[in-house]
Amino acid sequence: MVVIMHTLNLTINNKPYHFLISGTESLAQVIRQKADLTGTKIGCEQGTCGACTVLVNEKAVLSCISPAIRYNNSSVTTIEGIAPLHKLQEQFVKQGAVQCGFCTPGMVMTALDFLKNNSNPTSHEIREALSGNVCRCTGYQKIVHAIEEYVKQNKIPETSATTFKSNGNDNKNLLSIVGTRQPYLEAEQKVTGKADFADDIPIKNPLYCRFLRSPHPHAKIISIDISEAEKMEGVKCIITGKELPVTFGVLPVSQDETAMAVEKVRYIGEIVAAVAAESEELAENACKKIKVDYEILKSFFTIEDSLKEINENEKIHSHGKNNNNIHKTAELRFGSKQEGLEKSVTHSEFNFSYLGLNHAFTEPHAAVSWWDEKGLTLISATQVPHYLHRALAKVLQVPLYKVRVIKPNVGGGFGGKSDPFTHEIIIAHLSRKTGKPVKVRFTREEVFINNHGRHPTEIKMNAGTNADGILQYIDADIKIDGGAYGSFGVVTSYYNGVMLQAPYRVNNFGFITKRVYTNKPQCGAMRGHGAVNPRFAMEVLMDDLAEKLNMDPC
Amino acid sequence: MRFKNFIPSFTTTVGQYRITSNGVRESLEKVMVQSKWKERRGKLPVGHGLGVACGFFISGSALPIIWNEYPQTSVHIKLDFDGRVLVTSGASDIGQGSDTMIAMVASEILGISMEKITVVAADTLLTPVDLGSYSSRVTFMVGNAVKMAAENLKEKILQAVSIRKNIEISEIHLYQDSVTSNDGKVNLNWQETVDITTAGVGAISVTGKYISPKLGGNFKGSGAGLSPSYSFGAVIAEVKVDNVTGQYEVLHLWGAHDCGKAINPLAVEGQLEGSWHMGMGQAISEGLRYYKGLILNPNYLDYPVPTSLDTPEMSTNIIESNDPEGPFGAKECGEGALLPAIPAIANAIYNATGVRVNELPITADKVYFGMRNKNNKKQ
Ligand code: FES
Ligand code: FES
Repeated sequence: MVVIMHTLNLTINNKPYHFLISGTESLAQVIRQKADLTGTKIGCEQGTCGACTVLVNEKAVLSCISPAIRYNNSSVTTIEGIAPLHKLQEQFVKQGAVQCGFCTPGMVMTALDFLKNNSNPTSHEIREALSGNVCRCTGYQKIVHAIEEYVKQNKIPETSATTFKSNGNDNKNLLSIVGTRQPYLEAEQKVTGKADFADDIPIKNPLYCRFLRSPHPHAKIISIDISEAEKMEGVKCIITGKELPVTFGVLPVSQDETAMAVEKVRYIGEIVAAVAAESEELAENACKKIKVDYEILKSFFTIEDSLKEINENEKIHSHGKNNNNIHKTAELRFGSKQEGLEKSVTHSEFNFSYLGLNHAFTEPHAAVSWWDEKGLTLISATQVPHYLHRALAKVLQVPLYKVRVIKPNVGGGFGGKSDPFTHEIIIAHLSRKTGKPVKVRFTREEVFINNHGRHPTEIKMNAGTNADGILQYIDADIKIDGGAYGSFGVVTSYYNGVMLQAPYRVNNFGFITKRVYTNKPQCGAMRGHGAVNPRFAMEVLMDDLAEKLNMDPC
Repeated sequence: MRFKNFIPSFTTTVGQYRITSNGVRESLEKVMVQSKWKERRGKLPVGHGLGVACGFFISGSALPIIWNEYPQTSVHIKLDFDGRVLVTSGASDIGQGSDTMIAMVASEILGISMEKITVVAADTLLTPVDLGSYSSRVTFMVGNAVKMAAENLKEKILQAVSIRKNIEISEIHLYQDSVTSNDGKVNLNWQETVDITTAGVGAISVTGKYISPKLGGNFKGSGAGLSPSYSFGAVIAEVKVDNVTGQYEVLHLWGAHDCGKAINPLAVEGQLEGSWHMGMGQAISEGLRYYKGLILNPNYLDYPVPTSLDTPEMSTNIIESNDPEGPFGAKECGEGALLPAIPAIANAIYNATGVRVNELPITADKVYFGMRNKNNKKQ
């Protein structure tokens, strides 16, 4: 394949650059990979999150969806060009507008552009201006306040520079630091784009990893032919599931996943093969040349279907004891529902249903790994370096002392980075085989396919009170759709029930949760793990009971 | 009705959870007063509604995922010739601010300024094990471990000074970067203190750890949800519903959360606001959709996280119940606050329209059909 290259002349942050680029390269890629300015973040490459916002000829532009060639001879300002520390950035730090910091550079660029044309905005106008920038951490409140505060400060004639250092306290018996408002230690690094996230860490001559994913929800793998892909220029290594057959999972009771599909695939998007090549594009192209023969199996998409009795060979996982796709049944009962029913004069019962959720943190999963005489080093956007360390040692079959996991700045997790993941194990293996560092970064779509989010759920719950409005019983029948693998699901199953035993006193309380496997991306832990959906049901029942009793729900 | 049913502080639940500090009453009182619940509910203009809900969550799982006798977290602190205090921990800061929390706790105990403290967190070669950032465990468990380690270091420092200066330990204090005695005769700056402490021994290393007390009942499944302490909270939401189309807007959220003690109130507020916002997302718009196992909405447009425009101003209230076992009384604030946000919004929609939508997310079409069914029934 002949790629036609073009010359691109840019002035970035007042410095002239000359690049040789292909016509498909985005401005974001050029800024990050060619100019090494990694303060500009890539959260989606779909033009929907704003993390990649830069100024081109003084106007805000989403650099991820802008072909770089379009801006030949333009002047670009990235977050690194807003130096040293702009007063707006100071306010971001001071007001706590920076949490994970992944959205921050884009937010700052968008806000600066907007404030140029409106130096005295209302809070609604600020919210309007930021509405193309996703922040998953802050709820936007502190970001809006930071901008408001900056606008306010700008109106007052300048006084001495602000300082964030806490004031010492002369009384040695008082708490002097605990209880004071402290901006994050690394907030200034984040607001200036200097903080390194997993994909920002400079690595010498890395290979890039891309995946071939299953197009089928449930199918047997008959054969995989990598011969054509292997011959492609720039392709260094291709691996398939058979090389890494050891199972893993975050819970010791649910070691039901492999690094890549071995015998069969269980959801659309499951990884079947992985390629390490000299560029992402080459790796991606090689994936397209891998041929896989599948034998389609019957798929299960709903809780209802997965509860049904089926033949042994139709099961998604063979390890279950039952003739169905139930993964876990959790049931606990305290007191007596009968007694609760007898003592109640008012009852409430509803059916609730919930779609599954994704954590939607702004930083897509990313990792890099290499081997040396000491063993494996893996830098990854993870919430659980310790469990990742253990899983790597287990699947790669190396001693624990040969593994090192480093957590850099992480762009949000919310439970979505709290499992050891297949891509982490895969690049570790690829770097062992090639002897080179291997990098990986998920697309936004892959983040959704990887999921591990909140379970789709169905709850039938009832509760009753006596005439005074005192709860006499709670009873819940819960079904959760776990997707293709276990993840935290056993814990989720219990949490869906047990987290109902407070904040209200209840003596007659019972629940049963059934978690099923389906042929969809797996579900796991997400902020408020397992407790969120039953809490919704319970609080709606409380509202209903109060109304029936003609009482204030408070 | 909720007030009548709240469990008290320092009690046990039906499933043998040990409840210690409990600020649920204060939380609900706070948001009621702030939202003018009593004065306004039932007297709002047509289409407006107020709804309430409460929440409850663990503050760290008392049982580790992999059963072994290693503590739930281990923290090291090193002091060397340069006066820098190096805290190493496996705690994973993912944007929630745990590194800052660690530095603040160490600074508080040691009485030295934050700038002398360096936190290295989460490198499994260099840092002792922490199990990770999940189950809202980090402030409670790592905070306690840092506190213990810093106390151990402080003791070593004071011991060294006491011997060198021939003075009782109880007569000297370490605060504001210096060691002073009650009689004023000892007055050492930080570097002098460090020189005395390291004399003849070199760098000082101390450790701290956290192990959860033994909790819970004796039945299968009794371990699920056991926590050394629990968080509580309440949210009141106000919505405005268009009673022709079912479109609605969340106008305001009043939230209160009992986090025991806010070690860093700026960070706690950020966690609470982020939680309420994420809860609002599940309430109003978020949901994964599949067609025969194929995900249909893997992007921020079709999976709509509420934007800055969708998100209302929130009134953020920190309730401090001072947990007896939390570090300085602290417990979780990063997850539990999310829980009441969703039902508060649903209950507000019911208050506005008389329609219960028990399917999340509550999209406008569901409200519209709910209103239409209700009207049809009436006729
Ligand atoms: S909008 Fe460009 S990365 Fe998301
Ligand atoms: S701080 Fe905005 S996404 Fe994390």
